[in-house]
Amino acid sequence: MGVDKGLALNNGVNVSEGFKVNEMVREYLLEGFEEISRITDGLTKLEQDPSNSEIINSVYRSMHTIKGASAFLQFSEIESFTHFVENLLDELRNETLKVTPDIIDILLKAVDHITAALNQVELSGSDEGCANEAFINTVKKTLSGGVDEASTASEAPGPDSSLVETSGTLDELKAELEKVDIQSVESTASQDLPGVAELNKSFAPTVGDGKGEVEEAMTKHQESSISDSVIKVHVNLLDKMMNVVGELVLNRNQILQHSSLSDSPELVRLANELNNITSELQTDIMATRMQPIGSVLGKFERLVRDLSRATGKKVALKLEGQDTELDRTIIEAIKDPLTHLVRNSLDHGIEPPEQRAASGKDPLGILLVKAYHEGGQVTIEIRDDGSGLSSEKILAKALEKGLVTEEKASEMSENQIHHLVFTPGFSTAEKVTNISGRGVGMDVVKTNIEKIGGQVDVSSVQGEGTTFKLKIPLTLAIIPALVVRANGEPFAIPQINLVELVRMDPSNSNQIEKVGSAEFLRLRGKLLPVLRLNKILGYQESLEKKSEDLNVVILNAEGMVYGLVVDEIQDTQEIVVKPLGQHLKDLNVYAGATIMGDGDVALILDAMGLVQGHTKDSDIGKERDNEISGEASIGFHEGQEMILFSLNSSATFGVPLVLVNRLEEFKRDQVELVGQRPVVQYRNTVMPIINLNSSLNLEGEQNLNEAFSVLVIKNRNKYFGLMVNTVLDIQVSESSELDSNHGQQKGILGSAFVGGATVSVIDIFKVIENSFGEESLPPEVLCGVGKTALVVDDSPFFRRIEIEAMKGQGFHVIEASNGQEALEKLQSNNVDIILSDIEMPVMNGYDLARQVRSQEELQSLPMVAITTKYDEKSKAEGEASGFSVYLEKFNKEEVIEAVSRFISQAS
Amino acid sequence: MHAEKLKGEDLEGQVCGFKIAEDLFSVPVLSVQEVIKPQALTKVPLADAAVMGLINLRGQIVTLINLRTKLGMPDEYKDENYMIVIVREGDSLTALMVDEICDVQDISAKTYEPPPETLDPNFKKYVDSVHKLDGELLIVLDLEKVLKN
Repeated sequence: MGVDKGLALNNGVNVSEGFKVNEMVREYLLEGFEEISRITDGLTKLEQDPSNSEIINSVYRSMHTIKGASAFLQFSEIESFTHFVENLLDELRNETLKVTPDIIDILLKAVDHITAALNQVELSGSDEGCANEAFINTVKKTLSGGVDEASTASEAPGPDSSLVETSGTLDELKAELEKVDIQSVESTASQDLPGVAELNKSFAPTVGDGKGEVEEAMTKHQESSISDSVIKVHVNLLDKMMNVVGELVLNRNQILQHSSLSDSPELVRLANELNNITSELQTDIMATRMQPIGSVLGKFERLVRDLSRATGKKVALKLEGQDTELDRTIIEAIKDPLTHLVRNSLDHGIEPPEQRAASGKDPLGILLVKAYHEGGQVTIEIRDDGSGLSSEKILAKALEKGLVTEEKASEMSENQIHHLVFTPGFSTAEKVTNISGRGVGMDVVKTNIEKIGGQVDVSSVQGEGTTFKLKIPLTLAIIPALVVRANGEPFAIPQINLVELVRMDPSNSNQIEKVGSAEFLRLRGKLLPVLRLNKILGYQESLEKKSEDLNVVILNAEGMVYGLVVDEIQDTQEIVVKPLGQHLKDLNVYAGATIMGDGDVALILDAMGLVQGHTKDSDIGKERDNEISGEASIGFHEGQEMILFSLNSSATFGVPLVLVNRLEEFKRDQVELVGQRPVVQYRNTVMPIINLNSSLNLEGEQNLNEAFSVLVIKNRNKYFGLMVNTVLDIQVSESSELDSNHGQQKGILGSAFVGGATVSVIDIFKVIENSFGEESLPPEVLCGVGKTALVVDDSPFFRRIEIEAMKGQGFHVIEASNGQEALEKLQSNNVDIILSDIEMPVMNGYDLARQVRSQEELQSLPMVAITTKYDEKSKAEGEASGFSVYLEKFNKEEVIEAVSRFISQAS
Repeated sequence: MHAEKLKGEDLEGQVCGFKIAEDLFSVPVLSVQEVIKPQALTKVPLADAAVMGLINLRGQIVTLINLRTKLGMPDEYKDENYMIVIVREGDSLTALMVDEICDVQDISAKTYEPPPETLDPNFKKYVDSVHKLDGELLIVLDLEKVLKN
């Protein structure tokens, strides 16, 4: 019976010599052998201490683990066998079965069988023939005789069932077990040979006497490569070894240096040998920390299966590049983000089968997870062929949650919109499911990946699918970096920040353009800010470098792309990042330090820190275009930065930078005349050009250059170009004083002290109005005649601009530089409207509004907030604190529209 | 023994002496890891003036502090006429630049004096105590303060 079955199966097994276990099975086996030794250990202890339920529980758990893993890998025969053993253990747990030496014997036999089965899997990759029903039946038979409860459950009682625990049955059982055991072991080794059956038969009789030797021999042969070839080592130990090897490498470098000076050929030979051995050792030690990413990706099979069942979707998971190796700490770190992305693709990406069929797609969705090496990093792609990201939905959601302003949203590119899914607080799931959309979302994925120096990118075509791309460094401790030199010193730049290298021929000098002292590089149509490393680090610019090529490293610091001019670009190196001591921690220009191949120390530059460090105290020109400056990444102090330019006058003129939309340069031949007015085509509109010289009645020679500079101002939703002679600089004004006595010249707001010189600040709105006032603008009804406005702003520039605007409307204007002062002014004046800034010293705008609203007679006083702190959150706070309307600084038309609306409502 | 934790009058035991501009300074011997000769130095632009640079101490990167600058004394090191004392504070190592290394000295409450009031406050804040030795005064530095930024 049982014997026959076993043999039949044996013959069916096709054992191939060259079978190579894959990574999953390898892990399964390792774990299995571990659990087996734990079980064996537990069982022998249990024999000494039969009532110890803790041991039974732990043995049960171990068996359960093996069962679970077998089921997962579809070793169904092992699964069914372990399931049976697990049931036995369960009975022991429930004390429906007593722990006796005989039971322990049975269990140990079962364990032996599982060991043999695992060995078979290792050799052949299959568990065929491991179900071992013969064993199970025999055990059942025996137990049904011995245990009442079991007998009720078991099928037709056999002939022995009447015997109650006689030694005879047990002996019989044992003998049977031996046979069974041999068969299963045999099955692993036996081939499809005709003699096997006889061989087995010839084995069987010897079992009684020679079983010990046979078993021993078998185990020696089988006890296998996997469990013996692997040991567990603590990661700390590996880390330490890595450090020691690092020191060894440095030591080797010094020895090599000395040996090159020596004239002993033997020493040179030995040193070279040491060199080779050390390199090999270093590679090996690094390799110890590497693990194939398959250990993470493999787990997705189950995840995808479960999720697709739960969601009723049909999904096929394809894995590629499971052998790609990563440092184990990184594998740990990317596990959760990856899992989240896979869940996300299943939940939001791939559509239900009906919907797919309706849109002409294969109902079976494909989810591809692919890992590969690329440019010193590992890239992992999670690609689904689902519905793709819907820009409209994302935008609607982002607007609803106040993550972007409407104005900004209208300017965003498709790709920028897609990236909104990484914004904190964003989740597109229309309903929260237990699969994804639990509030923690893609932003966490992004942060976690960035934490380990990686990057996340998303690309999507609506209707065709979405691809998430993760770029992961191979290891945390060792990063590829580009070595550059400034002033002769080496500096390392992490490759992850590197976009490209540009070498510029000095003869092609117009590639770097200057706006004042700030420099820009025109690269394939984009304008990138350029910083000079020498300047940032306070080195003298090497003299007369002009004759040489200019080396520019294009860097990406968290989305901000800029060029860094360095003296020399060297090669890339794998560097070990070491932290800086506490004396240097505050220098955000450096990310750490490293030891170079020659033993010298090199500082690692922090791409983000370079920008911040630079803007902190100096004069980077600011492109106010979102695409380049990334807006928030550069701190902006309202009203303090001035763009300086020259006109036909010895004086320097300035305009607050915040009022200037862009700086442009136009060629003479781009100018057309419409009526009597010069205009240029600009951004699909016609932009009038205003000659500031003539607006300000400055006489002098006409600028006859080929090209001219223009400040682009947006007013009343229209662009205006103010033509200036030369743009000089962008500077921070040191004092906040604006001296308006300087001259009541038309179009001049006053003078300010900027960059050590006096600058005439131009009232650009006045200039625009004067140029166009009568003809192109609708006649305005002055709403402010006989009314009083209180203008509160700490910046004299803006106060002046706002005051001028209000005076233009006929208001009598009172001014205050902060909330406190405004409250005092309110005490003694009758005010019809308040215009207030938000960020102010002493008392800010919010507090001012709250204070005002707390006074009964001022409940309905119109209050207009005008601020650069313009985002949804601040807006909400502004409205909550009592402002009637919250406006962005500074759109004159909008302000006047709001003011006249409130004034007419009030009267 | 936790001599390195003790301060002022309670400080007892051995200190490692070194000279800077004719004055005898010292730090508790237990906080000194080693004394080395000048090493290849990597300058750190933008760093505090007292930070001379970084040295490679067998694979560890250590910041070299010029005590003369720190203590407000004239900076007179030419070429490599200095020595480096590697001190350990907590887990981190710092290198101190000194003129020359002197003997290890025994100090106790008997030799103790508080820092004289007449010292320049910018100097005094780094001084833990002063000890009267035969023929000269020994200044014990408060390492924690010296190493603090």
